[in-house]
Amino acid sequence: MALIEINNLYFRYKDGTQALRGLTLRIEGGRKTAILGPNGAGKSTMLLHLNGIHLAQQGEVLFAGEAVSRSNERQVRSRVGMVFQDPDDQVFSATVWEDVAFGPSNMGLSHKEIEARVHAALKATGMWDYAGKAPYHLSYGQKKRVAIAGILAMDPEVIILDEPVAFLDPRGKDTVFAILNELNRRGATVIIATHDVDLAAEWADDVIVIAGGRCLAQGGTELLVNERVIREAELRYPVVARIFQELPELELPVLPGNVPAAVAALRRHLFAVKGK
Amino acid sequence: MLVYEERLKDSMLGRMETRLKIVSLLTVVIIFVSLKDRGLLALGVLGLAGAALATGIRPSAMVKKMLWLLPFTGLLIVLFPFFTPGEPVWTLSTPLFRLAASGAGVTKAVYLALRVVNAALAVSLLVQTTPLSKLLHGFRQLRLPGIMVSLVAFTLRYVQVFHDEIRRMQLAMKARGFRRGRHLLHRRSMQVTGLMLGSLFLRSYQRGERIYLAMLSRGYHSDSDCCGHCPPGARDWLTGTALVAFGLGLKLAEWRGLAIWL
Repeated sequence: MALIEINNLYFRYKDGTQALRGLTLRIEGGRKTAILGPNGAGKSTMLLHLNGIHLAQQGEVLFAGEAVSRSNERQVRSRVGMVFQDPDDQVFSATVWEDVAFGPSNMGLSHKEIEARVHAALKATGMWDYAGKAPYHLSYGQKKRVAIAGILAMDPEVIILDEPVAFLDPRGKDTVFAILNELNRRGATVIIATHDVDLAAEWADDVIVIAGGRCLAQGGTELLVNERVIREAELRYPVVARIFQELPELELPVLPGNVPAAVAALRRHLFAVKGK
Repeated sequence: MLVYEERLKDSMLGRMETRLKIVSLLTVVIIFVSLKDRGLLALGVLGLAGAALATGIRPSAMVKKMLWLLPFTGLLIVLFPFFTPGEPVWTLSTPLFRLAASGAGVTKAVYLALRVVNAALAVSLLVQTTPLSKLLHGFRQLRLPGIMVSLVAFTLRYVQVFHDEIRRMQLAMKARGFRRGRHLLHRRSMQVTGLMLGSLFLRSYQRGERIYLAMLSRGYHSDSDCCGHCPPGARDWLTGTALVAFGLGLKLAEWRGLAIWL
């Protein structure tokens, strides 16, 4: 059984925008999943369903086999953590420490437990030295890490990030992904929504492509070099794949989408040449 | 702005249990407001100012905060002597009108000033030594209606949001060469400011919505029970009793007429 299942989900905003039109997908536990799609595809709306903030208007969202509903939304929120795109929307307390303690406090944990969790979360994100600082004095990348720490402190099984590396510098991106990989290694399910095909191709185990409020395709990273998917979802080929598109003489059966696949393909080709 | 100061964390009041702190400071303010003796009221001000200094609040910061009160009560204090009827003690004569300040009015103004300063000192002692989340939680535990606490929480939260949005918009306007007019009635400035306020409202509304969702997703609910219940310890009771005893002492002094020497 998949950890998260969405079946035929529809959602319409109050202003009449129909964001989801029969979305169906599965997300396996303990994996790294990237959700891709153009602007307005319904990615963020879908993510808000996973966290119980939006409830299904039609269709269903199952978390660990149980339908997310008004009666269990709070419980779901403590098991599924969500990091918002703009840390300024999320980080608001007077000090970093207080902000990271916001979630655990809402969970009604004891003061001792809250202190332990905040400490662990700030250590894991490398922000412990800033615990007493005011968040608005931090850089964007640091605020992002505080936002992630705020979710880690709730110790969720699933952590969702909406555009986790938008506006981050390369070093900031690396830091965020190092944190996410470490979390995943410890057993957390990590889900990100992104426009960045290169990033998805390098990082994800599973890929879900959404367009027009529906799931267009779901599978491994090979989807990102699938011509039909790329066209319909208004994506583009990963840079690595575009290099190989310019080299038809290699006669590769499948375009490599990321660095390891490219290296493997090149090695095979080089050995074949040498062998001749 | 009145905000929590991390460096005051280890002061006597900083460590005090929140509910007890709220109740004892509130009690002190109520006692002070009931005082009818100017000297004792002034002593109360000195006492609270002393407590603030002992807590580590800087005198300059204290004075600055008092200045914030001016637009609210300053005007009343200045006008009281002039519209309270009584024996004139000072007259301002101009060819057009005559203004007389009454003795009773001056007394009233002094009372008001002292009471306001007292209350402001107590509030700043409370707010500067208590993190916002603990303060709100304290109010909730004291059974203040949840909706009131949420209102305070969101007001404080959104003041910051508005401020940020204005700053960003002004910066973007400056970057495109906009300069505010030299006088208040400059037509273009007014136009631009009007537009800015309109879009500020919309943008803040949208941002507020996202912030609220982010709070919800971290498990926020209006009756959020943060920090659990930690009962006040002996030291907390001692501090609270000392505060209230100070207030009661003054009240007692007034009642027994011991304040003649002041």
